[in-house]
Amino acid sequence: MTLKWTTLSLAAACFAGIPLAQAGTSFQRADDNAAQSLAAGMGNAKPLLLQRLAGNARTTLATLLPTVCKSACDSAKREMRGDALHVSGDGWQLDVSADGAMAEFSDDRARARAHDLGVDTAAAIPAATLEAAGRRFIASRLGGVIALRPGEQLVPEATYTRNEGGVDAAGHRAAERTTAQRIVFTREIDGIPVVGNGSKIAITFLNDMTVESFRYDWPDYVIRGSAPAMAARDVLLQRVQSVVGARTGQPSANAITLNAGAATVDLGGGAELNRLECGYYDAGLPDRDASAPVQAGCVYHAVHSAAGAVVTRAGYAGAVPAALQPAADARWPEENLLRGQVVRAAGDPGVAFAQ
Amino acid sequence: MRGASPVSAIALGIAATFAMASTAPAHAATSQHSIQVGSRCQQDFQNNWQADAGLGNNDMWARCSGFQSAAATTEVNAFYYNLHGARWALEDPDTCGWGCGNADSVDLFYMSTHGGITSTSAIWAMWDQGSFAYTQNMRLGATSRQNMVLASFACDTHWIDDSTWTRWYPVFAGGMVMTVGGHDLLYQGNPQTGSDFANRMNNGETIGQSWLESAWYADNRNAPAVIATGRNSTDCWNRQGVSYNTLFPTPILRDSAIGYMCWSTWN
Repeated sequence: MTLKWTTLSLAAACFAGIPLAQAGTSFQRADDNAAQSLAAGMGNAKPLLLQRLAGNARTTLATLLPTVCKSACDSAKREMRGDALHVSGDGWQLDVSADGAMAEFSDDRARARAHDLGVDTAAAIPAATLEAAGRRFIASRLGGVIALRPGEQLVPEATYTRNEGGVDAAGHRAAERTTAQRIVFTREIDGIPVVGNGSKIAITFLNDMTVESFRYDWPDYVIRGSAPAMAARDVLLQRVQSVVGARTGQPSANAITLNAGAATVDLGGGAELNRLECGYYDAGLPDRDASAPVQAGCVYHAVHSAAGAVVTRAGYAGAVPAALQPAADARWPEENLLRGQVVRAAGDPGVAFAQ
Repeated sequence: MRGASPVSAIALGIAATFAMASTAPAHAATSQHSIQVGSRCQQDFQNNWQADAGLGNNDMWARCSGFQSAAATTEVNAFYYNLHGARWALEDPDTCGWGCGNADSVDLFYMSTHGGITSTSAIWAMWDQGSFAYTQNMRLGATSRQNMVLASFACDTHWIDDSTWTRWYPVFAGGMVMTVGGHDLLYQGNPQTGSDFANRMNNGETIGQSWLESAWYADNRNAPAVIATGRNSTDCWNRQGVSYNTLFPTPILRDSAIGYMCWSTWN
């Protein structure tokens, strides 16, 4: 495979008239990291091997309960749901993972007001306002559970909108309205962002700035090993091309050409890479092997387009390891695939499906 | 293919209670719900006419089995089938119940495959080469168990534009209450979306909220959507708050009784 930069200009990438997905609005820092990832992979970064530390759900609950419960907290209903602790009170619910690193809160009364508080999409809350409100909320309400070690930094990643719309039988469409907005923060460790669902805090605000919900996956990390050598950018793109080809069943060995200024990268086989974000890869508590280290990786979002009389699209998301010789991780599908050990998940119907 | 059962149940401990589907009573006005849930999904396609929808970890199968298993913890586990020769199971009235895997043979039908749109239809790829199911040919909620909810983990089928009514009215005209899907991309690779969606509904969240949150939290770049109908705008927004507890008591609207279509989206 050869890689080269060209100066071809590319209009907005399209698939048969369907515009490229606009998923949220990234902060400049996140876009810069994505651009850097595509240009240089991990660059000069030297990420260590880290380990998520297991905590305790009851300790987390004791910290969070005064934050989310306004009255009659002693009478809040507590029950185990799977291995998570579920607590519900008058109009609110809170779930805390068994290891205490992950929690989700919903204020159902606030949620019920969202529709009536809707505003024209053009009047949505600016990103800077969301960032400031999010930081205040984390500092004032989540300070007991969102800790930063030396060298760690809380950085905003992107904002997202929940919109509503409608149309009547005569075809008259109502103007789209924004009913809630969500800001996501991530963590940087010595300047290296954590990518994936781990180390994320999502806070949802109504238009009157009431917090409708929040969810975080915020473990403590400790150093488990020294920094392994990183693979070059070209190798990372080859890995993405390889796993996307394996997932679509339409592998390609085409040379990858990076067009300066283009929104996507052609991976061959009908697939295009929309975004690449490298850093420490933490898939998030529900999707990772607790015994595996947190190590360098690159999250990819790719789209396959099947041409024909009608066009279908399919999105593929995941992450490839960034280390030249990554540590084994039984629950990291791409790491398994690239190592030649494809894991078939429970639920594969196999031959049980008749044709 | 119609009438020749194209599917068989997988080993999920599926109850073989086939007889009741075609004789099920209309939905009783009760909060003691026993939602009948069925799934049909497809990861690989005949002669690779569509891209596979999974890696070695089989995220499509994992998503669907996760959904069906989690749904079955509180509701009625009807079936989990593939999409071999299944176009008719979406487009035609149900005549033979769970054994045929028709969308109208259950209250909540979950599907995952590749999706798309035309100017008049949302479409889903079947396993069979060149075969799509088209919303313009569908009318759910009118036969057999009378489907109330269609959940579709597929890209673009709930695309929002001036043709959204045209694409979805035929389906809703049969009486279906709500559909959930993607108004843009829904990424493969986070199979926990299936079990999370079911668990949230089991835990009392509204069906729409369960869909929006499970899809978005799995991947922040997912673009989930919820579409419902009502006699008018106010009625539509009220009905969009339907949950397991309120699904059966929700009045059925068919044909000209539908005066409004409303949607909620993330991203």
